[in-house]
Amino acid sequence: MDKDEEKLIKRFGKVEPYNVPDGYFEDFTRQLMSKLPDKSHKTGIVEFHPMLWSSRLRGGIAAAVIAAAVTIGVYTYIGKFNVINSYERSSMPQKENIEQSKTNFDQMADYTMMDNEDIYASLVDNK
Amino acid sequence: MEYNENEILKELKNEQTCRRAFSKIVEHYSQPLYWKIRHIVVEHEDANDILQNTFIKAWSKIDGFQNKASLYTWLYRIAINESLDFIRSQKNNNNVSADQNEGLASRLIADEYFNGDEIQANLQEAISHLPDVQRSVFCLRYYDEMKYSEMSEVLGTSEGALKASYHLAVKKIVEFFKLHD
Repeated sequence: MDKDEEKLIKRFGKVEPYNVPDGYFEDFTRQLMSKLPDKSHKTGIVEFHPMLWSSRLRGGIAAAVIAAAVTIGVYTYIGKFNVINSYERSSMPQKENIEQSKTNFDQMADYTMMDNEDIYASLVDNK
Repeated sequence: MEYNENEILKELKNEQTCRRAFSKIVEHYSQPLYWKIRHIVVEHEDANDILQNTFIKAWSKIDGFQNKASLYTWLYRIAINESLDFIRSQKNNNNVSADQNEGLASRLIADEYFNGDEIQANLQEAISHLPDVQRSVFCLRYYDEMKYSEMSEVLGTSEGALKASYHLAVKKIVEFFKLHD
């Protein structure tokens, strides 16, 4: 024991300065045990037994295959369509492109039931 | 109720008897653990919470207890770690500063769960100024008279480092009283 420790012990002693409520320790075990959850003695390792050919798994695999097939088919069809369209467009002469645009505009105008005069007027107002 | 740890460890492995075995552990260790915790955290309510958390944690991990360390060391380690976590979180959440420790002595004197006089209260205030781990080393050695070899197992620190830590703590407390006397 060094001198500093001797000084502390001489001055303060080693008395316990704290206390507890009456009956605290007597009651502690009962109170604590009532809070503990039930224990399973299974280990923490989750045991996984994949049953590959269970009916549920078969159904899931089948659904996934069908979904994949449909997705691939749709993308193929759309892709083919777009390829054709883009090919067709790119191969169309410039003049025919312009004519196509005019036709689309006219169809739009008919749909809105506006004539050319109204359309021009709205364009002026919006400036 | 006689406490036989070897029997209790066997009972713990049996689903039918594990709960009863654990209650014997709680009964045997609750008091010594409580006082170790209390010396570190000071307030009874806090010590009570930490003691409960210690046993709840131990219960959740008891299946993994492999007898590499004694049950005593294992439980004490959980308790000390919980206590240190608590005082660190107190500092972080409440911004407890050195100034806040200044009034501890007068708060303790007014505390119904403090038996000591002004001198004892001043000692507790001096201890509260120590760094966390040093505080726990001082309390374990000074109040609980824990052997350095046991402390080394509990805290996972070498005996040499613990001795140095304790002597530094004692020196700081002596210096504290030189300044405040």
